Amino acid sequence: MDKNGWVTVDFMVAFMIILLTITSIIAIISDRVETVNSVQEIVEAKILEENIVGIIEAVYSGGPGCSYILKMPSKIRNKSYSITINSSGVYIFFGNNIGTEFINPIRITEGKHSNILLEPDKTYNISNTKFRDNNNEIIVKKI
Amino acid sequence: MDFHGQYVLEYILILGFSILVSLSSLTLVYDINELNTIMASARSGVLLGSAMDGLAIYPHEKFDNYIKKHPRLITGSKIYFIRVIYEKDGYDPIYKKKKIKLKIYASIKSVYNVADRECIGDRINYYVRRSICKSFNTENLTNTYYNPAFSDNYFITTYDVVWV
Repeated sequence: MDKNGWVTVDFMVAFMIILLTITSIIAIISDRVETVNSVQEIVEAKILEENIVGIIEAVYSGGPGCSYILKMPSKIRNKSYSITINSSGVYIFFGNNIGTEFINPIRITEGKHSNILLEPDKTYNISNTKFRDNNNEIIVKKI
Repeated sequence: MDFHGQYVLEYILILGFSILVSLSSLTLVYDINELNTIMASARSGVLLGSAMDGLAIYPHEKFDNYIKKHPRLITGSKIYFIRVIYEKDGYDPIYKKKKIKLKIYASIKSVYNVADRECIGDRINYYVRRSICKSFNTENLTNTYYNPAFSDNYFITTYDVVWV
């Protein structure tokens, strides 16, 4: 008699129930994982934006001569992005989305333009210099 | 004589009866499972929608619209998700599916303007419907706003978000 290679009916029924349960759960889990990834992407974009605002305001508060070297990340969760800075705020563009973070109205230039594009994987020097009439300005230069 | 693989008659009867009951309740179980998936997807949609509204990150066209008409929404706000419920709304003969309407309850402290709240609610509802369509791969059956959303046997619309 063959004593090996057989399973009880109980086991087969239990196994089928488990299999059915797992397949129904997988759809829910994959949807939730996708949502969490999207939320994480948004949060990372927002953190980057707020970091840049924080750096600009810190450099401005530091007075003339204060500077900061900013290294931009290459991607946000494997997605390309770009950041634009002007006197009103920092704008982040990724995928089809835009977010903004306002800054206190200060003069920001890169020498000529007041709309400054920060590209991924590049390094920038953000410095505070004296402008006319005892005002300061923030200059952003690619290194 | 083979002493293995033998079961008593009672056991076989009970097992047979259980299988019959399971098979007869299969439709009901499938229906409940589908509703469960719809609600889980709706919660995922609320999570994504409230995160985008909360962090003020929007698609291009919405961002441009908000900056002109709803500037309050350009800065973030704290949104609390309370619950999502569904109401069965009969059978739709056009789509030949059962109709359900989802109602989302949420709370927000820092946005008082009704029009602004409606915009936030619309975005949450949009992500709810989108999430359902994605879960059931029915994105090709609906329009740009995923309104209505479809599952295998249901036709899903949303009420305006109830702010409490």
